[in-house]
Amino acid sequence: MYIDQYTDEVKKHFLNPHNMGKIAKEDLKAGEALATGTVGNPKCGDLLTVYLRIKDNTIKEIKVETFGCASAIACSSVTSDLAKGRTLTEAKAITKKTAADALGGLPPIKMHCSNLAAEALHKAISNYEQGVETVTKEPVKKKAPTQKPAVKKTKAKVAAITGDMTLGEVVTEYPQTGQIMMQYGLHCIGCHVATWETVEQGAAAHGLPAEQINKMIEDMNKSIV
Amino acid sequence: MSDARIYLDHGATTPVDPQVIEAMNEVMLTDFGNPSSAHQFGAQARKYLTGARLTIARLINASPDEIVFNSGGSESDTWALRGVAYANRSRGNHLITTVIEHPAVLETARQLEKEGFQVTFLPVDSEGFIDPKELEKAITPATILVSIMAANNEIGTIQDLDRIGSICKKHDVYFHSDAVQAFTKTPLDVKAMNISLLSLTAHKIHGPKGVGCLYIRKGTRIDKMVFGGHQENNKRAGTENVPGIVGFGKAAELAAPKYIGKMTELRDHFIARVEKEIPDVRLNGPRGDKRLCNNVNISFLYIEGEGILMHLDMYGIGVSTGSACSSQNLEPSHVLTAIGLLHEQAHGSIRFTLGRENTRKQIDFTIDHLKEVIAKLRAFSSLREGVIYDATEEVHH
Repeated sequence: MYIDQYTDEVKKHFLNPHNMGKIAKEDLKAGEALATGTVGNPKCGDLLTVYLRIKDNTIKEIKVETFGCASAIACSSVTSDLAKGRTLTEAKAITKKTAADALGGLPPIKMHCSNLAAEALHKAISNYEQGVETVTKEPVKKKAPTQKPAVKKTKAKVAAITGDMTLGEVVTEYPQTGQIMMQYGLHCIGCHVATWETVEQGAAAHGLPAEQINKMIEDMNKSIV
Repeated sequence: MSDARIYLDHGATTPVDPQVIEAMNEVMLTDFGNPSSAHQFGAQARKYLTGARLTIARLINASPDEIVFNSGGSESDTWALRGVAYANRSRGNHLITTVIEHPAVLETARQLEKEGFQVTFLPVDSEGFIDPKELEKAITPATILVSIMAANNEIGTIQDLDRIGSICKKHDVYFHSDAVQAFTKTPLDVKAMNISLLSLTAHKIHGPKGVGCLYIRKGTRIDKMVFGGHQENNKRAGTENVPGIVGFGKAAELAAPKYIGKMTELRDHFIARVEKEIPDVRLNGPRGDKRLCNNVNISFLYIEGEGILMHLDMYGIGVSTGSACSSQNLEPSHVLTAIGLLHEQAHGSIRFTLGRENTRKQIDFTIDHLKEVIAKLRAFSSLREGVIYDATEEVHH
C-alpha cells in the first residue's frame, strides 16, 4: 500500500493501537472465563488472536495479538474498541464492515485480507459458547473435535466439490481439503482475498493446467468421502 | 516526529543533484534546439549530446557511438531482449536469464516465451548468486542471448560478470546485463567483461527520471524497437530528450569512486548495529565486496514489513519492503522467495538503500527508531520465538 491510501483514522489506530497483547489465565477473577480465537495465516501475512475476558455474557476485557500489516493492526484496534464492554450478542453484530466503516474505509484490496479482527472475535465467542479454547493460557492449535458439528452453517451441504464452488465455500465445508490444495500450490487459500474465487479460478491463477485442476478436485473429493 | 527527512530508498530513485538541475536548466533556457536540425540551434543541442555520450562511454569503457540514449532501464531491458531475440532468430530461439531479474527483463522474457522463444530461468543460491557452471550447462546450440543483472536491486548481490562474460564469449552468445543499480557503484568494463548490451538509467545516480541508455557493442545484431526518424545513429527514433541526457551526463560526471567507500562504511555500520542491537534479524544477500555498497536488506522476524515501513515514515524515514502486504498485488518479493525465504520472513523484510548524501548521524537516528518500532510491533505480534505456527492447520478458518 501507499501511505496515502490509508485514512487518518487508520493511521491513528495503527500508530497507537488499543487493547493489544494477551490476557493470561492468571488474570481471571472468580466467575470469569477466558476465551480465545485465532484466524489468519502467517504465509499470507496476517495472523491474529483475540482474547476475551467474559463475565455474565459480557466482554469485560479484550486483547488482540496481531502479526500483520498496518491495516490489520488498525482493524484489530478499532474492533477491540467496538467490542469492549459489549454483550456477546452485541459483539456478534460487529462485522468487517463495521470495523472498516469506523476506520473511514480501507483500500479495497485490504478489505478481506487484513480485516480479520471481527472474524477472530466471532471465533472467540463461538469457542466460548462451545466450551473450546476457553480458560486456556495459550491458543490451542489443534481443533477440538466438538467444534465441527457445532459450527453453524446455513448453506446446504453439497454432495461433492466442483470447480465452480468458491474457495471460501470449499474450505468452510471441507476443511480437510485445504491441505490438498496447498499441496497443489494454492498457498493463498488461507488468505481472504481468495475466498471469492472459484476453485478453478484459484488453481488457474497459480498456473495449474486443466488436467492438474481436475486431479486436484478428484483428490479433494476422495478426502471428504 | 522529526523535522528532518531521511531518505533511505535510493534503490527506488535518488534526489537530483543541484548541479544536474543547473546544467539541465541551462540547456532548456538557452539551447532548446532539436539536435536533428541543420541550423546553429540544432548544432548547439547536438554538442550537448556528444558531451554526455562521451562521459558515459568512458565510465564503462565503451566507444561513444555505442551509447544509445532512450527513456531508461525498462526500455533498455525490453529492447535488449526483444531486439536481439528477433534479429537472431535464424541462429536460434533460446535465451537464458535468472529468476531474480528486474520485472523489465522477467516480463519481457515471459512475453518472448509466449511468442515461441525458449527461456531458461537460472536459479540462485541463498545469497542471490547464479552458479556459472549451471549457466554453462544451460547454453545450447540454439542459445542466442544471456541476460544477467549486474547487481540485484533488492538484495544487492553483485554477480561475477567477468566469469559470466567469458562463458558467453567461449560459447559465442550475446551477453546483456541490467546495470541500472550497479552503474557508478561497482566497476563496469564492457570490454573486460565481454558485455554486448548494458542497460543504464539516470535517476538511480542522482540524475533526472525518464532518461537512460542502452550500450550496444559494435556489430551486435539487434532489431529496432522505436521507428521513425534517424536519431541515435538510426537505432532509436524520437527527438532526443536533450535536457534529460545532459542531466544524465552531468550525474555520471559527478559520480566519484570516493562515494563507494563512504556508502560501504555506512552500510557496514548499519548492518553491524542492527545485528548487535536487534534480536531475530536476518541479513538478506551477501556480505562484503560482493554486496552493492548502498544496500541493506533485513528480515525482522515475527512482524510484517508494512507496519515497520509506515512507522518509520512517521519519523520521516523513507524505506521499502519486500512484504506482499505492502505491494499493490499482495505478492511477496520474487527475489526473497528465490533465495529461499519463507513467506513470513519475506513479509518482515525491509530494504534500506543508502545514498551519498546520507550521514552517520542519520543512520544512527534511523536505527534508534527502528529498534523502538521493532520492539513495539513484536510486543503484540501473534508470532514469536518458540511458537512455530503450523499454517497448514489454520487454512480452513
